[in-house]
Amino acid sequence: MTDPAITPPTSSEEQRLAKGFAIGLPIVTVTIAAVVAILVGPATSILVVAAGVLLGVIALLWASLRVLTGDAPLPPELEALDMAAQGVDALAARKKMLLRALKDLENERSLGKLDDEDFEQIAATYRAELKTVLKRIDDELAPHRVRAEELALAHLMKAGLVDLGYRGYVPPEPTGSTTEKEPSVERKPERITCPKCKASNESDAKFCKECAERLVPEEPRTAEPEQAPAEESERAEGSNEK
Amino acid sequence: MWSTFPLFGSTLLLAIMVVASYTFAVSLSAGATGRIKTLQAARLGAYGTVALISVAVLCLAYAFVSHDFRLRYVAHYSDRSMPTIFLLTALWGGQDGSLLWWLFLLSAYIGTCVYSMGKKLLDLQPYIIATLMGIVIFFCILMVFAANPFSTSISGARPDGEGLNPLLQNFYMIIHPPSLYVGFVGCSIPFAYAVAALATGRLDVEWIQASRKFSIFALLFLAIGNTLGMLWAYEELGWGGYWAWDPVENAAFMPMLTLAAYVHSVMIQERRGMLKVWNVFLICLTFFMTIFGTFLTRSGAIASVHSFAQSSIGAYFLWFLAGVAAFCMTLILYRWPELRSLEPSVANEERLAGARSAVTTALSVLIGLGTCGLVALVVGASFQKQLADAAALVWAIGALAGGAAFVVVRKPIEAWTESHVNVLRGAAISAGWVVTAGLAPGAWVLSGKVGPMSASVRVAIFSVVVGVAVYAAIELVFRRMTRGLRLPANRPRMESIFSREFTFLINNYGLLGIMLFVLVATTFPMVSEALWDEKVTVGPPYYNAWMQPLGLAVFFLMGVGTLFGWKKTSPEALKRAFVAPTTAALLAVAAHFAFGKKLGFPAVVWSEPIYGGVLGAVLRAFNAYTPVLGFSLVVFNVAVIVQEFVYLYRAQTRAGSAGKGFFSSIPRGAKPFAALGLFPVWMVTLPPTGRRRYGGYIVHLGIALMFLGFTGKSWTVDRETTLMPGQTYTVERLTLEYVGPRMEVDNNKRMIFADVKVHENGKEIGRLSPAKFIYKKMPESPTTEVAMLHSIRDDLYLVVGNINPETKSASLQIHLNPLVGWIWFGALILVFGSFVCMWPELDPKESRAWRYARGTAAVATSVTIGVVLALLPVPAFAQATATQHAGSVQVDDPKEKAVFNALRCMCGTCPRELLSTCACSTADQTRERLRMRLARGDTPQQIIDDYTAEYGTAALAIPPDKGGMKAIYVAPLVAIAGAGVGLAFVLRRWRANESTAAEKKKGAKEKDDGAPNDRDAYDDRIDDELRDLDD
Repeated sequence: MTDPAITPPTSSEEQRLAKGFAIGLPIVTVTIAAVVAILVGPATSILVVAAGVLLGVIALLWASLRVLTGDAPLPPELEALDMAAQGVDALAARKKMLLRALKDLENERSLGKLDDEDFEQIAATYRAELKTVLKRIDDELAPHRVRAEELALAHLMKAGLVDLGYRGYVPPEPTGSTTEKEPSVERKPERITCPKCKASNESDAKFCKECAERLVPEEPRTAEPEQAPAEESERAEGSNEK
Repeated sequence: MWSTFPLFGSTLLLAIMVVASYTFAVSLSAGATGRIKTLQAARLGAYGTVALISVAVLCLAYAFVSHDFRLRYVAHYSDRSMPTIFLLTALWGGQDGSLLWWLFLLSAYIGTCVYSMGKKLLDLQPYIIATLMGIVIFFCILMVFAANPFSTSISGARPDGEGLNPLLQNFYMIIHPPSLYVGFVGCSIPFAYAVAALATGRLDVEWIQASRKFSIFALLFLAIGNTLGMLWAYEELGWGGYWAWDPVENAAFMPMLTLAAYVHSVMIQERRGMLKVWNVFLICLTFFMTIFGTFLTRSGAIASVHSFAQSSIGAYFLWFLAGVAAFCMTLILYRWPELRSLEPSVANEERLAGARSAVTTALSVLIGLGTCGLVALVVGASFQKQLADAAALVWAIGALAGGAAFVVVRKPIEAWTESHVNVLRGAAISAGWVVTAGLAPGAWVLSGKVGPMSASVRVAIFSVVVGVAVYAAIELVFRRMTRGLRLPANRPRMESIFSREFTFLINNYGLLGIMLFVLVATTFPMVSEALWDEKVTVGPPYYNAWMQPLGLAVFFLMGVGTLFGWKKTSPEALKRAFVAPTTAALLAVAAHFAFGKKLGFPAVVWSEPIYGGVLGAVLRAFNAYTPVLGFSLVVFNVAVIVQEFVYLYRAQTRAGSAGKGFFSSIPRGAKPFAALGLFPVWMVTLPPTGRRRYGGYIVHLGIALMFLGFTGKSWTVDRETTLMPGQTYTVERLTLEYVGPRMEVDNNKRMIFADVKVHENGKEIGRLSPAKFIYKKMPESPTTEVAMLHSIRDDLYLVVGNINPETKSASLQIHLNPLVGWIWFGALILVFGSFVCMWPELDPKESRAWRYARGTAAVATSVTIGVVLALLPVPAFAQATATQHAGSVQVDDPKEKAVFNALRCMCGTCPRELLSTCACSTADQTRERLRMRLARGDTPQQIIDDYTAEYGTAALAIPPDKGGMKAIYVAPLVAIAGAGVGLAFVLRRWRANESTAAEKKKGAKEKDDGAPNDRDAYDDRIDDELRDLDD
């Protein structure tokens, strides 16, 4: 659909061009202005500088328009920022203010403006409130923290960096941590229904008690390779401990 | 349009307007949609605007350097003989060019601001950029329509220009206005941050912390600009003083006061979350005062030595001021729930409905006014034609526009019924709009520039007053109706009134009290002419009498406030802290009374009262003691500050204090020497709050030293004498020997010197040569060149009057100004203190040396850029009358002095000169006339009364103390007293908080007395975070 001859430049080319322009234009302008100042006179050199800046204006406005219309892509770090998500974190602001208050109190005590008794009394109130705030922050973060730990562990396993027993590291129980990858997959259900005879079986049954149909498929071992080494390592560690 | 260079320049101004509007629109769009790419487009647009403004400035520079006399402005301010550097200086020498210069400084600030915001503050950035672009657009409108630097003269290009007034080619006139402009323009940046915070509702401390460096930088340059103005007046104008309370001087002084108040009260918001409304109001007021200051300087509304050619530019400023005031009021009212943290919070729909109803109401009102205006035009009632034409036209257009808008937004009328709160909030907002919309033409009319029309003026005043009353009434109802919204239960509370929070509040009270006083006095001539049809002058004697008590009171509070600590100061500790400074101050008082007279600095100095009666006597009695009060307060403040540093030193060198720090690697005995010798290094090693705190103390120290210089004024010695060559004259401990006259000639002037040898105790300590310069271009107005001998103790200040060519006798005016040098020295300390405050936060993991290098570079760069922008030569565009009238005047006896100090020169061209200082010929004749009357035996009071009867009340140096004129001091004093009462109520409310908080604490303590100091994991975490807290 697009004529190759008029394909727009790729984003990195455009950014390189912009960068080159940003550095090159001032240098070129100043050099030419200096040369003209010596050869012709100050008036013309001012005109040269004005012309250079005018070129810069055109470049900046052109860049602005291109960004506005979406023709020019933004640098990746800017794209990653999402303006609308910069909500006000009231809890963090409160925590900071309370910490600042405690620090102030310590300062004033060290400077001798606040007696120890007053300091203890006032600091206790702030500490108490700070503890409440910290608790609330922790509670809010708790589920995220768990997820983060699991993700980190999974990543380390993949890279083979987890050395078992290293510093007493005990990997956490895998609690169906594949759920974030495949949320549609059921967690271990209460009871398993046999696909062939529809009989209800225990949750950890491998064969149907009515028709001996194999219930646990062979694939999981290869479909979730991260899980296997975890299970293996856990079994290994379990056997180690034994 | 591009055919000639002047047209190109004018088109550039239009182009700036277009690009700024584009950026304005895009940034508002970015704010509304929250898309990052729109913001990036706005940022690039802002950079483009900045660059385009530079192009315009460069083009004007080119016009000057290439002698393009087609431009009226170039022809007026330059000629072919001027060297290139002065051509560049003249670029910003007149009204039009200085507007472009203001725009250029603003663009530099915008570029720095946008760059420094980077990827932070994404919510605020769009609105910051939009506000700044709005200001740019206003200045473009000014230039395009009222004062275009690229406009051509009708008669075409001249062969040569008029050249720059040689009177204006001196160093201080060059650097004073630009450094002041750097300060003025800097106030726009925190203002933009505040507007953005209000628009987005992010009213915590984020916007304050982000704009902190800009606020301090602007404050620093306002201080530098004012000091340079004082230095300029002192060194060049030759009347022996440094501050004349000129309206334009006051206009530069007032934003400095409000910005200083702002810088202090934001610290309370940072620590407590209190005073949100106050801080936002303060910064809007500061910005308003900077524009108001420029308005006073440029419009000629009030007579002043800085007056420029009358132009119509004042009207634009008035409308802009009205717009700014209405805009800020609307925003603050709009965000009232967030600012006061009211609960339950107001939903967006309600808020929107309220805003729409406000707009509807405003439009309806405008339509009503427009109809009235049209009717008035048609009937041709008692309005004078000029006013009727202008006002009615504006109102008619407004009515048409309002009608169209009304049709468009008629739906929100239903919003009236949605929420009773917002109905009234909307009504309050629109009432505010109405008042300010009426205020602008009303104020312009007040200035009397539209011709004599007292009847219409009274009508205008009446309508404004009614408007204000309506607004106040609606506001009161509004408050009643917002009773359903409560302040949150856990809103910030104070532990104690013996805290820095409270003293900062008192600081605000004091600074704004002074500002109000100066504002009323400065604008009083306009007000008096409007209300009572009586012109008055408010001369220096009025300010000098009243400002002494006010200034000393605030100076005292500055010292006392420093003694308190954040949150609470233990009573014992407070008593301990007061001991040393109070003892020092009392010792100073005793020493002053004991030794003052012997050393030539008597403790009590009586001067003439400015009023008769009780008030005059009381003022006179207080002012008699200002020398000893001033000196002892200086000692008090210095002692307080030194004590603070001693406390810091002790805290840091105490055994067991943290390992990091300045003193950790210095051996025990050397610590005191390190603290003193490496003081700057010690300061920058403090954590950021410490730097701000102790940098602030250093600034206070500078101010204390400046007050020492101001105190010296009480002991000024003024003498006049005529000497023949070889004669000597003794003044205090110095002997002056007049050697003789000397004449030199150079390219553009003739210089006549009077050589004087100065002896002290028989030894010659210097030679002075005061002179008169007679410029070839202006032989009728010679300039006085002052000659000074500086010392720590005082300045010897010589001015030469007439030199008789035959007898070679010279009339000399001799001033001995004690302690003036301390003003300039104090200003330097102030600059150093600001350095410490502005020191950037640096990564502590870097090596020390590299950190110091980077920090020094950062601060030095920012201050150097500011100073360079200030030093780029910009002659102020004062008329020659300034120097012509101020100068050498012979006033011999004290009775004469009393009469001449009370009366103004009425020659018509001097703006505010008193008979005792004006050097023009009319003043000479008047003085002779009055001298003869005194010789005949008339009393000074009779002479003053007759003079007043002849020339009107404006002939008096200060407004008389009778009738409505009393308002000049009654109004501000009543306001200050009222604010004091208000503060007392606030204090009571805080004490109530204090008692409930104490009860709560007691209850809590009793509750868990079983486990008082149970440290848990959280305590450890808190301690860790505290250790790392570095803000």
